[in-house]
Amino acid sequence: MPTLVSQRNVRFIEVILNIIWYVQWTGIIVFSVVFMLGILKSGNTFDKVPLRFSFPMEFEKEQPGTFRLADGALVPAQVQMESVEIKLPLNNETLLPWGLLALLGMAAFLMMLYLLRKIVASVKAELPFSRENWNRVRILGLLVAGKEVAGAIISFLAHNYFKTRVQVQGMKLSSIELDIDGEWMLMGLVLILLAEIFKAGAVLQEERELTI
Amino acid sequence: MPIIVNLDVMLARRKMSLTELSQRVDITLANLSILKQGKAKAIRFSTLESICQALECQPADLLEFQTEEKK
Repeated sequence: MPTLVSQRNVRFIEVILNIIWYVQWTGIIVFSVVFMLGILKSGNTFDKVPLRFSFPMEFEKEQPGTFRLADGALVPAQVQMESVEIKLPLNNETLLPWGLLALLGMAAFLMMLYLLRKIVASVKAELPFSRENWNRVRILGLLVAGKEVAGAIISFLAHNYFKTRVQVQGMKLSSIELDIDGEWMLMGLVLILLAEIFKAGAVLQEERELTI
Repeated sequence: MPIIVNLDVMLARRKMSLTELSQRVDITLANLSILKQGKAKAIRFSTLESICQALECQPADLLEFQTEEKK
């Protein structure tokens, strides 16, 4: 009897997912330990904390520069610097909510990986169409879309929060807009739609199982 | 469900157990049990043919239609 799925492809996906799963877990554990150490230690100096909390921000600064033309001539140009990395000590109490939000983001990604691993296991067992998988794909779609929206909102809020507290001589801090990536939103919606297809498949599977 | 499967009646008439029938028709005991309990959603003609051959009966002996009022 021919198999329903390509076991070779499924095994390949399973291996990749397992690698990402364990790397993500390691990352969460390391981040949590360093984060806790940072909170427990006192003071806000860089010396006491081994790692820094990095956050990208957008500054505007125009620097005079030059541009070499094809004939070798140099012409003056204005260089616009747009993105810089702000490094702050982890044990700063004001960073606690942002660190927790970062952990939440990692946990959401871990949840997505968990759901994917369960789906792959069911596909490997040649039982892809089940009510459980319908639910898993639906939650996956909600997580993908929700994570994108939440991430955009948090990034926007964090930027505006740090904007009022960071000062760099000679640089003007620019504002950012709420930027939700439409592609990720679309992917989330596609997954939610796929979940309905899985639901129909589950109904057909149940009927097939109850056909003697 | 309006379609009643009288498998237990036919098994009693032929003095045969479900296990014996399962071995004769090459259908799992679990599936025959589903059929007997009326939980099956559909039956293949090939399955019906096998059961009728084993029990030496007609499909009408196995399947009965009952309306909701008759119940």
